[in-house]
Formats: sequence, C-alpha cells, structure tokens
Amino acid sequence: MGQNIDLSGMMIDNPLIPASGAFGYGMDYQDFFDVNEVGTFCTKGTTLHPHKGNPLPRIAEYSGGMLNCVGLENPGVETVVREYFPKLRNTYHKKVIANVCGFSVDDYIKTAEIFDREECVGLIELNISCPNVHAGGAAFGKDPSIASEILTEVKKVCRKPVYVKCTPQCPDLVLMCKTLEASGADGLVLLNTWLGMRLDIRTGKPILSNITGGVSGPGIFPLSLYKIYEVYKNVNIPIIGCGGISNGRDVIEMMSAGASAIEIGTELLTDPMALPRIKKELSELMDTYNITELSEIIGRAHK
Amino acid sequence: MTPHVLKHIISFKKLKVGFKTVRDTAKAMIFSREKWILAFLEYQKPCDETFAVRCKGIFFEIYEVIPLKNRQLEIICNNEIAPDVFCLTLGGILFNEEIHPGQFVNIHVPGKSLRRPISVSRIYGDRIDLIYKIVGEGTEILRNIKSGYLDVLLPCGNGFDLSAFQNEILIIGGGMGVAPLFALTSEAIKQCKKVTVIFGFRSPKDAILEEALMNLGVDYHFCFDSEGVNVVTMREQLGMSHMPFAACGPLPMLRALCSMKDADTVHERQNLINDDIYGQLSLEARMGCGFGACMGCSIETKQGMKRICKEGPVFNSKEILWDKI
Ligand SMILES: Cc1cc2nc3c(=O)[nH]c(=O)nc-3n(C[C@H](O)[C@H](O)[C@H](O)COP(=O)(O)OP(=O)(O)OC[C@H]3O[C@@H](n4cnc5c(N)ncnc54)[C@H](O)[C@@H]3O)c2cc1C
Ligand SMILES: Cc1cc2nc3c(=O)[nH]c(=O)nc-3n(C[C@H](O)[C@H](O)[C@H](O)COP(=O)(O)O)c2cc1C
Ligand code: FES
Repeated sequence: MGQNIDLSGMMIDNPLIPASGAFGYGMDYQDFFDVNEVGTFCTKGTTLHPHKGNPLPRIAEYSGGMLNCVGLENPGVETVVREYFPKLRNTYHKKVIANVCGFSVDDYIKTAEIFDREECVGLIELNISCPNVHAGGAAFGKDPSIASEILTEVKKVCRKPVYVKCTPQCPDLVLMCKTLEASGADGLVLLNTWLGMRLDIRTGKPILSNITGGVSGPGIFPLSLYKIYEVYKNVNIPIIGCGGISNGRDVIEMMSAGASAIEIGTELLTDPMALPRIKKELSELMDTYNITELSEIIGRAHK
Repeated sequence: MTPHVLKHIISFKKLKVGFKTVRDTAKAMIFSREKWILAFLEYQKPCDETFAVRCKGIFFEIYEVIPLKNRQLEIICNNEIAPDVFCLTLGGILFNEEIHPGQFVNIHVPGKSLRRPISVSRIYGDRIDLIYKIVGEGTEILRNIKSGYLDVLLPCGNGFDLSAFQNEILIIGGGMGVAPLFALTSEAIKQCKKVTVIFGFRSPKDAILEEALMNLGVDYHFCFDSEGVNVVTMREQLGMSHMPFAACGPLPMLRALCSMKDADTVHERQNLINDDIYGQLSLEARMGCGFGACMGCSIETKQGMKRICKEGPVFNSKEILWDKI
C-alpha cells in the first residue's frame, strides 16, 4: 500500500505534515512519538531577525478549536540554522519545510536564501498569511501584486521548490492562487488561520492581547475543504491542504478535494499523539475503501 | 550521532512496567516502577503493538505502548474541599520521584478543545492530588466527573529548585497558588529544611490544606483579606521580608513580594523591584499545548524569551521583567 507523495521533487513517504507553529523546530514531541513518522514537518514561522511576538494572553478557545495571536515569536533564521538544525539532526532524519515570514520583501529574500542553502531543508513555504503581525504577514497575502513580487524575488535566490501559504482572508483566493502560479510558485499551502476573536464573559473585553487572533482547529475543516476544492479547479500546481484536520477521514476528504498532502496544526497541540493516530486511521481507511495508492485519490472529487 | 532516546511505557498483560528505547540500537530497557531494570529487549519498531518480550525467562505479551508523557490516569476521587474548590486524586503508572513540586499536569477535559493545566499538590506512591477551583467551563465539567480515566500530559514544566535554598525556606501562597506549594512544603521538610509557610485566602471559609500542614508539623501562618492581612504584611510581621522564598499566587501578589516595602501597588513596576530579595515564582498563562510546541505562553525575561510551560512555570524573581508581564 503506497502513501508516497511527490511535492515538486521532494518525496515524502506519507502525506502527514505538522503545520507551522504547531511543531516548533521538531524537538518538542520526542517524549510522545518517533518524530520520523511524519512525512515532513514545517518549522515555526521564521524571520530574518529574532522576533518577540505579542504579549500574553496569546491563546483563546472556542468549541471547534482555538485562537492564537502568538505573532511569529522566533529566534531568527541564523539561530535556527546554526543551533536548532544541528540538534534536530540527532533525532530527525528527514527533510523539513522552512516556513519563511518577513516584514518587507527584502526580509523574505534574505531569510529564504539562508534556508535554501541548508541541506535539511527540502522546500520553502512562504508565509504571506500570518494574521497576527502588524506589518507584512497577511497584509501581503491579500494583494496578488505584492504576493507575486515577493515570490518572484524569492524564486530568484532559491534552488529548492517554493510554495506559498495563503490566507483565507484574501478577498479573491482563486485569483491570488492563479497569479501565484503564473509567477512561478511550485505549489500552494492552503490555508493559514481565519481571523476571529473571543470576549471575556465577565468583562466583555477581548481575551487576546492583540484583540483578534487566528482561528484554527476542527471547527474550520469544512471551510478549508471548500476553499481547496475551489482552488484545485483553477490551478495545476500541487496544493498542501491545511485547516482543521483531526482524523484519517479528514485527510481522505482533503486529498479528494485536491490536496497532494496535508498539514495538521491544532490537533497536534491538543493531542500530541495525533500524528501516529491519524497515520494509523489513514492506513485503516485505505484498507476499508480499497485505496492502494494514496496519490491516486488526489482531486477525485472533481472527476 | 547520539542515539535517539524514545521514552515510552509498555503495559504488559500482567504487570505494568516502563521502558526506554534507544532507537538507533533497537534495544529497549525495561524497568519496573521502582526503576529496577528487569530486562533488555530487542524489537523492530518502537510502536509495534504485537511483539512479545522475554523478561527474566518469562514471555510477556505487550498489548499497549504508551508514550511516557501522555497517560490515562484513573480518577480515584474528586471531592469538594472548600466552596468551589475540589481535590482530584488520580492514580496510574507513576514513577518514583518523577514529578517535582511546582510541575503541573495538562488535562484533557472531555468536551473541551484545549487542555487545562493544573499543578500537582501532593505526590504519593502511584497517586497524585490536584486541587482546583471552579472558574469556568472546563473546571465546571471536571467537577462532575467522578470516575473513569482522564487523558493527562505529565510531568510538565520545571518545578521549584530546592537546592537553591540553603537551610531555610519561606513558602508563600495566595488563593489557588497554595496548591503546588503543599508538595513543595512536604519535599522541603523531607530534605530537613527549616520551613515557614504563609498562605493567604480571601476569607477563612476559603482556607484549604490547614489540616495537612498541621500533620506535617510545619510552622504555618494563615491570613485573610477579609481580616485586612495579606501575605506581604504577614511576612513583614514575621520579620522575614528579606528571606529567600518560593511563591505562587496572583501576579500582583508576586510583584508585591519582590518590591520594596511601600511598592506593592500594581502601577509601579520594574523600577520599584527590590533586587536584594531572592524568590522563585510560579507563573500562569493560557496555554495552547503545555509542552513547548506552540509559543502560546512565552514571556520576555532578562535571559530572553521563555515558555511558561517548558522553561517555567517557576522562574527566578531576578530574571523577570515586570514591565513586560
Ligand atoms: C502552570 C499552571 C498551574 C495551575 N495550577 C492550578 C491549580 O493547581 N489549581 C487551580 O485551581 N488552577 C490552576 N491553574 C489555573 C487553571 O489552569 C485555570 O483555572 C483553568 O484552566 C480554568 O479552566 P476553565 O475551563 O474552568 O476556565 P475558562 O475561563 O472557561 O477557560 C478558558 C480557557 O482559558 C484558560 N484559563 C483560564 N484561566 C486560566 C488561568 N488562570 N491560568 C491558565 N489558563 C487559564 C483555560 O485553560 C482555557 O483554555 C494553573 C494554571 C497554570 C498555567
Ligand atoms: C499556535 C499557532 C501558531 C501558528 N504559527 C504559524 C506560523 O508561525 N506560521 C504559519 O505559517 N502558520 C502558523 N499557524 C497556522 C497553522 O500552521 C495552520 O495553518 C492553521 O492553524 C490551520 O490548521 P489547523 O486547523 O490544523 O491548526 C499557527 C497556528 C497556531 C494554532
Ligand atoms: S503552551 Fe504551548 S508553548 Fe507553552
């Protein structure tokens, strides 16, 4: 039974990818399972310089999952490649997806260039979709012309495949994705979190320090599924589906809608054993529904 | 290359033992609850659920491989000990000296998306006590669960460091902050330190743990807001304002404990902190994961960004940037 997936030349042995921001730099799950069970994983969103992120509280809850306004806290790309990657190699033997974020076009270029040189990086994920920073982030992800400018410049300095992670806040996502494809994107990651808020029941005031935060978790699954279904009809590059996936069935649905692989965020935070569990569920479902080659179900909803 | 150490517990058909696996050499070390090594075993896959192991000449069939940090603990009891305050006793596979005072567990509350972090109040054999207050939806659900199993992550974070105190320690708790401090008090006494405890509550009916402290035979002082005495004034009355301490409680209380005498107002922050006082403070934050993966609980300290769930929840008072929290 095959679960191998080809992401623009980066081969992964199963389609399950911990999403950016839910897996740190790969070292926080070692007490739970063998991290080599993942297909690959996305690093925390990384910027050129260290970034402190937003004040607390950064986390709120809703019945379908959570909201966060972490705001891209990270130690900066230099520390990641100099200190974290060598440590990671002791326990993790596959390639990683480097999630790159920036506050200017120049930031994206420099950060991506540094990651591109790293042997363990298999793919670059341009995050133009973080809703929790005041400059850059999702602001770039709403404007196809800025997004394609960043992509074009980054493509010039990278040899590895470059995927773009989009925001559902983009007013015309299909147009955005088509523009990115035309500008040379090797693939798309759909989607980052949805903008939302929660209020304190006693005071009526926002719970999150940033007032708004990114909504994620099982509650957004049908929304993401639909977006991926729509975009798949209009582009020919691989899509990594993300948003609310919490079990094997979600993976099958997401791939049927058009995703070549999937990313899981919130479910890993609330159930750190979710990855091996979902992997098992996926194998069982493949058995039940006579799916011999997982890659064959990609986009079957449209056939 | 350093071998990858995977920590798991295997439960066997007949006995429950823990084991550590060394991935690269494909060998596992089985140890019992007392950490005696029972056997080494060789295996093919760390998560294979169907292999048998030979241990002291007997074959055991493994039927479950549980990750060391994620366990199903049985609810032994869950009773109200003060108005809206419950004591939850959990039992299961727990190793000797595995949990240190100040560490917490992260509980999956059925029906809630995020786990709830609760400190460990008492550690005895294969049981732990958690003391929690009903404050919202999660704890409201928890109070009504009287039997069965809970999915728990443990132990989380770093606890108090008793070795940093010489012979004497002052332990100060406010409100539910007293919960982890009971475990700390017991441990400090075990280590033959001279312990003084100050616990503050809103009013006498909210007081908890008095009998337990009495049984420990420790020097303790309770004070109540309703009677106009708080832990800071109590510390002063006892002439212990300069003694190294360990504390847990609301942030304004912690700040006041680290401030100069007249600076216990919330508004004056970093500049009124008294650098002569040494304290270990346990902090709280809303958590996304509780094991370091999401950056949902990070604060800025003098030594850079730190995660309350992983590097904390206990911090040295001197590393805290009071104007940042
Ligand atoms: C390290 C640590 C140890 C703790 N130890 C104890 C303890 O021993 N006894 C005890 O009674 N309480 C303790 N707390 C606080 C406890 O976690 C909260 O009271 C509890 O999560 C509230 O859940 P709820 O669903 O009832 O409240 P809700 O308000 O409905 O919860 C909504 C969300 O906010 C979070 N939240 C609300 N209040 C707090 C808080 N004060 N701290 C952290 N998260 C919060 C919840 O976890 C949940 O994600 C501790 C907190 C931390 C961080
Ligand atoms: C705590 C948290 C931090 C996140 N940080 C990042 C980030 O740094 N970069 C990024 O591209 N996405 C980030 N995300 C978004 C996730 O990668 C993912 O796109 C989103 O959560 C939807 O998937 P989910 O419902 O499976 O969580 C974060 C999400 C969460 C919950
Ligand atoms: S709660 Fe996720 S890092 Fe602390």
